Amino acid sequence: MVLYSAIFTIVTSTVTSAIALLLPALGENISERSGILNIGVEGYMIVGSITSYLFYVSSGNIWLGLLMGMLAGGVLSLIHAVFCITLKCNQVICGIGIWLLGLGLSGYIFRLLDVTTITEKFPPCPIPLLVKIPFFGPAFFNQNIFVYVSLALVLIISIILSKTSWGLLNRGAGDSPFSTEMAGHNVFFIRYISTIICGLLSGLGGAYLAVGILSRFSEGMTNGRGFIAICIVIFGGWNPWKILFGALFFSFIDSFQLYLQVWTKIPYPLLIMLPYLLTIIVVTYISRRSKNIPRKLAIPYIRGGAE
Amino acid sequence: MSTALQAVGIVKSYDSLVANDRIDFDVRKGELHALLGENGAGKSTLLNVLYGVLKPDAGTIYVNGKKARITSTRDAILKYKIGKVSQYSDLVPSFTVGENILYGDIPNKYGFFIDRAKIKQTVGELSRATGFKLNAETIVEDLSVGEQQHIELMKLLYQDAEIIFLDEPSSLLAPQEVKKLFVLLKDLIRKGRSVIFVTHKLEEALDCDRITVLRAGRVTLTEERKEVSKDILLKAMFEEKITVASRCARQEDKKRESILEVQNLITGEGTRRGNLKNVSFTVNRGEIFGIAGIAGNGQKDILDVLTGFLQPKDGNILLKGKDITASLSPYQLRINNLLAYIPEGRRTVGSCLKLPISENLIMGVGRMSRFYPNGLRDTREIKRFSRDLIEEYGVKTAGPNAKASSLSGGNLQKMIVGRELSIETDLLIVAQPTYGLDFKTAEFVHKRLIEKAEEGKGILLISKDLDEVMKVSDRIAIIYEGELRELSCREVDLDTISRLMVGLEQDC
Amino acid sequence: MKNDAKGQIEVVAQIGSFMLSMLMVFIVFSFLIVISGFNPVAVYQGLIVGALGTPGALGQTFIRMGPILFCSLGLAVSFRCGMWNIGSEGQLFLGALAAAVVAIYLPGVPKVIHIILAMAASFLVGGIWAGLCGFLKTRFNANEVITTLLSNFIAIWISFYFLKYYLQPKWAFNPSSLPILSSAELPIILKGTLLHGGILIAVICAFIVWFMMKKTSLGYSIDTVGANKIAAKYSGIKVNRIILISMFISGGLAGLAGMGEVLGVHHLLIRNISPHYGFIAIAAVFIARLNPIGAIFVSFFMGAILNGGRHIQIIMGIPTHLVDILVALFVIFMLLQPLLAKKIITAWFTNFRKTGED
Repeated sequence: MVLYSAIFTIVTSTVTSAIALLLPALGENISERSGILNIGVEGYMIVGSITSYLFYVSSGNIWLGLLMGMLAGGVLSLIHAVFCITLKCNQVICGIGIWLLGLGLSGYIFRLLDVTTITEKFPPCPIPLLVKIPFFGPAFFNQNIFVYVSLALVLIISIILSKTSWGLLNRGAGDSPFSTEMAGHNVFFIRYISTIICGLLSGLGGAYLAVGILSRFSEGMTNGRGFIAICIVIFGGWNPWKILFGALFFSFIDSFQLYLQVWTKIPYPLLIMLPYLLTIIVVTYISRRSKNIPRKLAIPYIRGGAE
Repeated sequence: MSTALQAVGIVKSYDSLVANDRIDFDVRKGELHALLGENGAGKSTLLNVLYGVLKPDAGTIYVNGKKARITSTRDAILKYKIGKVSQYSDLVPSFTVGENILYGDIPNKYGFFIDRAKIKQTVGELSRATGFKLNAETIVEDLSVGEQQHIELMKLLYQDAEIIFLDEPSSLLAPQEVKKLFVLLKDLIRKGRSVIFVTHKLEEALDCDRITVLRAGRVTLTEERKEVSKDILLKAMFEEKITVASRCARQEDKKRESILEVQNLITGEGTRRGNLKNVSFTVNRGEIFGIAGIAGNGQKDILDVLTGFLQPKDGNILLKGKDITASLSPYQLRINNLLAYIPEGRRTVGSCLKLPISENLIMGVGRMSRFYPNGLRDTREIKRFSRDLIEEYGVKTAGPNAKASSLSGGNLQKMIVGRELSIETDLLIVAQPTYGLDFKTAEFVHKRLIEKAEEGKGILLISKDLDEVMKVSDRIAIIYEGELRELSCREVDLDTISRLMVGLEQDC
Repeated sequence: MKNDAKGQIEVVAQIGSFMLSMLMVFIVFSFLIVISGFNPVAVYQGLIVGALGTPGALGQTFIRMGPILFCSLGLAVSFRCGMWNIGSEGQLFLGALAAAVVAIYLPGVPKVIHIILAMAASFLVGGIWAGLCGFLKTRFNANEVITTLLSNFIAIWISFYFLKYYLQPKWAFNPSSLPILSSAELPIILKGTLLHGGILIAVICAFIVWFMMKKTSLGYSIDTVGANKIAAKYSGIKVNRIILISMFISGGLAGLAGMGEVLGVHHLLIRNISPHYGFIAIAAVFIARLNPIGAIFVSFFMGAILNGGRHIQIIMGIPTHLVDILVALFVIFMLLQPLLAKKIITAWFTNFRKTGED
């Protein structure tokens, strides 16, 4: 019985926490497909966290908090976009700068305003019939509403990327910006939109982490999730469904690790680094056959085709 | 006949080089117009100006009699109905055929879903119109270069291009495919479209209605086809009268010592066109052995094996009689100065653009001990060596400390040639040595190669440029689908070679 | 003549663009200070005083300069080889761990030997850690940006693991080790301050790295591989070997940064041994154009900012994160420096073009 409840808790928290990895990963996927690498996703997330937390505390409206957190991420990503797309700066270094900026800004604002309220989470929102299914029902279908929204987002994004012309342009901008420009489309515009979407989704993920899961803000609370999101994109071969799987997988490792700490004597530092280690192993394995990687990822585009 | 496109007084320069020097040029409706000139004459620049890729320093363009403002390629395509097929594919490799053709105008269902049925239908129509059999759903990167060019042409038709530019389309096609291309072009002409066909090959120019010759940025001749002959064209293209004679005729039947012996070389699984099926050849001292062939027929594998980049499945490589098959690594080859190599792609793999010219010139582990005795840099020696080479090979540059990226294509190639020819070795492997070079530089390179051969080196030349191979080689072979066929001197004529290049057997 | 003029313009452009970028940083930073309710003049004054005001302050600046310089040197080597090693922070942590173990548990060794042993250990461990990522790249083509980035987190947790479970005495409250033996302490080189010899070692390393890159065949090979891997391979250079060597050196130097912190600053191993030195170094080496000697000056500058920041935090009560933001602004705006330099050069040539100049 203890085992059952333990597994149950793990599965439930896996799904709940996975959203904080899923959203930034979906965003980064869209951005990378268009050719822009956002190492600063962690930064987008954490400014989303602090902003959502502050707005939630002051307004009492969780959705307002989420919205503002989302926008905060978008603003930070706009900076990255300007530097990397229009000014064609080095995307890796800019990403690191953006990350440090986000980290610093969020910590600074937090210290300055000194708010420590614990907020109320999302209430669980059981889906009527499905929740009755033994074991799986309560685990999967008794999540909060935001989880369902995010899962729906996977479907929507997947359809957009594979079946609409916007999805085609998004891929074309990253694979062959020159051809895309010759076909009459504005590569910069496509990349801007993609990068900002990444910022919005990552900000939303950070916001959800603060107000949806952990009920407060603490410095550095995103704890590397932004970087794991970048890895999930590679795992998932730039495919939204595989990314969903990746997010669940890593979230599972994270939840599982909490239990391993309790059950076994394995020291928690070793457990915490498991996701990172696993990521390196998978990335190494996948790198031998990177067929899906956007060809011009992280290479700035100069109008007219010169590089 | 009315004028479709007219360019008046086009001037375009890059720093001090005037690529287009007051060019007047026009194309009529329903005309196939050849733009002829050797490499570096300014043909591509003119096309890029007319296509909106480059902004001219001066000059006016008229389309259908009206002054045209072509500020971008979008303008050229959408406003003026100009289409261009270049040597480098404009296609998105991961897209399907249909997605590429309709990229500029993706059909939608319900406002945002891609209408794949319509795409399929459109591609089918275009396929029928052009005679090219292509499936709308095939991914472009799985297709051959020739097929990719077909897609570009279909794209032009789809865009209803009235004026079509073709920039050296035959450089990647077999002669038979070029013939098919001309059939399609003549059909387009009949329907009232205009085609500008850029080439440096006389035969192709003579297949067109009118010919304009460019030389060093200026127009030297514009005539109807019936008014010109090969000689007249050659005179307009080159200042001096050039005869492209084959060295083969001059070869004395000397018994030469072999430097490189390739025996029964097999690479890959033998399934791909470019895998070697059972290649054997010898390169002797004092001669140039040329392998001609269309790209993708095995040249890359030969080069990769000989330079230590690819492990052969089977076969032996002998260097001066010694079997080195087991120790074929770039390091081993270089440390013992077993060979020197001028690769294809001077900017991409042939040089280090970021580094100064001197650092480029001393490359080659085999001579590291000369420039870094005991591992420490001998700056004076390096400077001296670099200055000497720069002078000997006429590399136009500010000095050995200038970055290699500052060199023009021709000078960069001369730098690479100097670098490799100065290595003390007996075997020299050369791939596409004069691609994209102007005539003078190409001549220079050829002269140097012949010189080195006469000094006693053995040279393996691999080139897509048939003229080059014929001009410079003592012995010639053709490679086709991974099989090598050496030719006797009797067989060396353009017709035979062309047929062998596409696999048609020569009847004895 | 032409070359001289061009060279002069380039130098002017580089310096000018650097100052312009700095100006942008200060404008944005000042704005931030003002809306937070502080006085920008006071803040800048505090920064300068905190960085250079007294010998003690200057000492602290040099103390912070050391690890940044070490890491920058390492990054210069790997970046010039074309390897995007962003794992300096983790390599620093492991180097600190190795140095701590040697420094704490090796009694009865004369001072100089002890320090050298600790240096060797930290260099080795940091180097191997980076080398692992290099191996993943050469053998499996695993993208080094990702592997080194993640290796940071793994290294930090490994270091914490050993600290907490092996090095921490039972009576300690915060995770920290036993103090290092006095024979391993880096000597103070400026009387009355806390400035330890680590900075000297770092500057010496800068010259060693400069010498290696400019005057040895290894340096030549590294630069060539970084410029064009395939061309390098054609010329016979063993590219994989060079990549591994450059990563090893890179991680080793970062490891020395960790050594400096343990042997010179804290005299024991603590959890947060580095305030993102490894990441700051990435920006620093970029600004220094991957030049080891330039890295000396840029590291000093960065150290000054960090130290000044600590001063304004303690004396003026400004939250630490403001300095983090300042550093981040530097990283970001310095990206503009090469572009501005180019604009200055082209502007010069269009406006002041002399006749006869190409």
